[in-house]
Amino acid sequence: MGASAASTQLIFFISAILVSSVVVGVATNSVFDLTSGIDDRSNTVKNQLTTDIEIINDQGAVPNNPVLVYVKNIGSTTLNQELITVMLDGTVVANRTLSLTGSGSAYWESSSVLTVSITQTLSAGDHTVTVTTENAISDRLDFRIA
Amino acid sequence: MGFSVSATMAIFFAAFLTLFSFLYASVNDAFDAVEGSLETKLDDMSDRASTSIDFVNARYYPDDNTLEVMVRNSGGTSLEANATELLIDGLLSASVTYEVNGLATDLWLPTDLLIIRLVDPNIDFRSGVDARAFANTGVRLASPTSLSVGDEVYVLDGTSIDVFTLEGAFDFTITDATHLANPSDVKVYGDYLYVLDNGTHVDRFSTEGVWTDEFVADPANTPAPGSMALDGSYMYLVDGQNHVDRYDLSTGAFVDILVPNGGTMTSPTDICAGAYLFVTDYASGAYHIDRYALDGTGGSEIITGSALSVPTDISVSAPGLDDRHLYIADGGREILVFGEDGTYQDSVDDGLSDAVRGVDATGKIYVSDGANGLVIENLGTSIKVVTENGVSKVMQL
Repeated sequence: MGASAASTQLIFFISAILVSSVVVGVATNSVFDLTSGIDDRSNTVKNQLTTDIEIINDQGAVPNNPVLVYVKNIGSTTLNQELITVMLDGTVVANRTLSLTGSGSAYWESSSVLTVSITQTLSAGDHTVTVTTENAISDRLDFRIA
Repeated sequence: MGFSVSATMAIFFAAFLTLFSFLYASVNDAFDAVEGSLETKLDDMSDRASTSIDFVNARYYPDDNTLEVMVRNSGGTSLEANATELLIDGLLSASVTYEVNGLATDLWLPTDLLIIRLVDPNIDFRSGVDARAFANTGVRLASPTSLSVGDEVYVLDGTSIDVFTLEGAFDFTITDATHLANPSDVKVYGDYLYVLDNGTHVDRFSTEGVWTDEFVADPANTPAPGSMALDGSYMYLVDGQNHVDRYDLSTGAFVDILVPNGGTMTSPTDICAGAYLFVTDYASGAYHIDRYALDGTGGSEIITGSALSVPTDISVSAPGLDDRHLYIADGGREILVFGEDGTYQDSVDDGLSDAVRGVDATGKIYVSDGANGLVIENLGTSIKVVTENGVSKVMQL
């Protein structure tokens, strides 16, 4: 009886240790996932807060054929210009050529200007262009072609 | 049993402490990062809200084909001069230089004046602009005729020459009873002002109005000069409403009869020089415009008599510009604008009376008007300046 009680106690003890370890392991994974998510989200919010762009075209004299859109990085985050989305009159522009002015690297640095060249002839009248960065910061310009 | 429970609780407690410390550190880091970015964002927004700029002026200098745009920092934020963008007629100008209060520095402080210089600017005449009038001097001028634009505007008014800034503010008057006896044409180039006087010779003055010398007095070759034009090398004189003579602009020495009478040249009355020579000619009872290469060859009529009434003055864009136009004061009431090939572009009459006399289109269109004095019209070229944080201003040249 003494030996069986001790065995039972040992089994309970080992079981308790195993079960609690499993519970702790699951909880640890969840907490690590949570902290990772918090880090990612805070980085995203941080980048969004420090990202800002401005379309600086002269609204009455936007170059046509090709349409040239000048976008200045007025935030403090260096952006990847290849990841921008350009919409002209509500349609995503697929064929565009990009060039940087005033950037010291291959990326779109703060204060530098990205020129988006769109091979298209716009008709006379009012138009809209929207540029959106990799982290969903966007700017819009309404302009008129004479 | 009791020991098992205790061990389990101990594991849970240790795990809780460890995981909570991880979670707390992560949340704290995230909060700090977002708080720092939020402060940066608020600082940027505050800077932008307190950023303001004002155009002081924009001047085109034809001698070195340079545009100067002067902008004052009228806000409360220090800016980076080198991060300022300039757009001319909608095109971004890449090769500009900056100067703040006369210094080649990057720091553009509040109240400082930034000068942006652009060589070979794409300034151009824009058709279809209804409101062009920029300024006028009112009744200050009594009987203005010829005018010429350099660093200032020189307007022949009777026997004196009134001098204005490029913005139309009166500066001073040149009077000289001896050397301005009966002036009929005035041109400024470089450091000198050239005045055709008495229909016999050309006097030279400093740009401050001090007589320097009798630059061309050559009755043998040019007995009756009636109109003149200048470029960097030569002075062109219409002589006796008959032909065009050429003189060396550095020495005043006679070079040759550049365009003799005959062929396209009948009875020339006026001349201007740019990338070509343009001559107002009178034939068969009507005025027309002929164009010649600068060596006097290739004369052809580019504007026929039917397009003109009575042209009183003619001016052409600086040769350094890519898009050049011809400006003709016509019929006493308007400025007709043609392309360099004679293609009609537009007529300009905003703010003009029925007493238009002379025209010079250098950076803007300067018109001498018997009723409104010196009238300054915009070419219609749009100039936009954008600061580092996206604040911008637009003006017309």
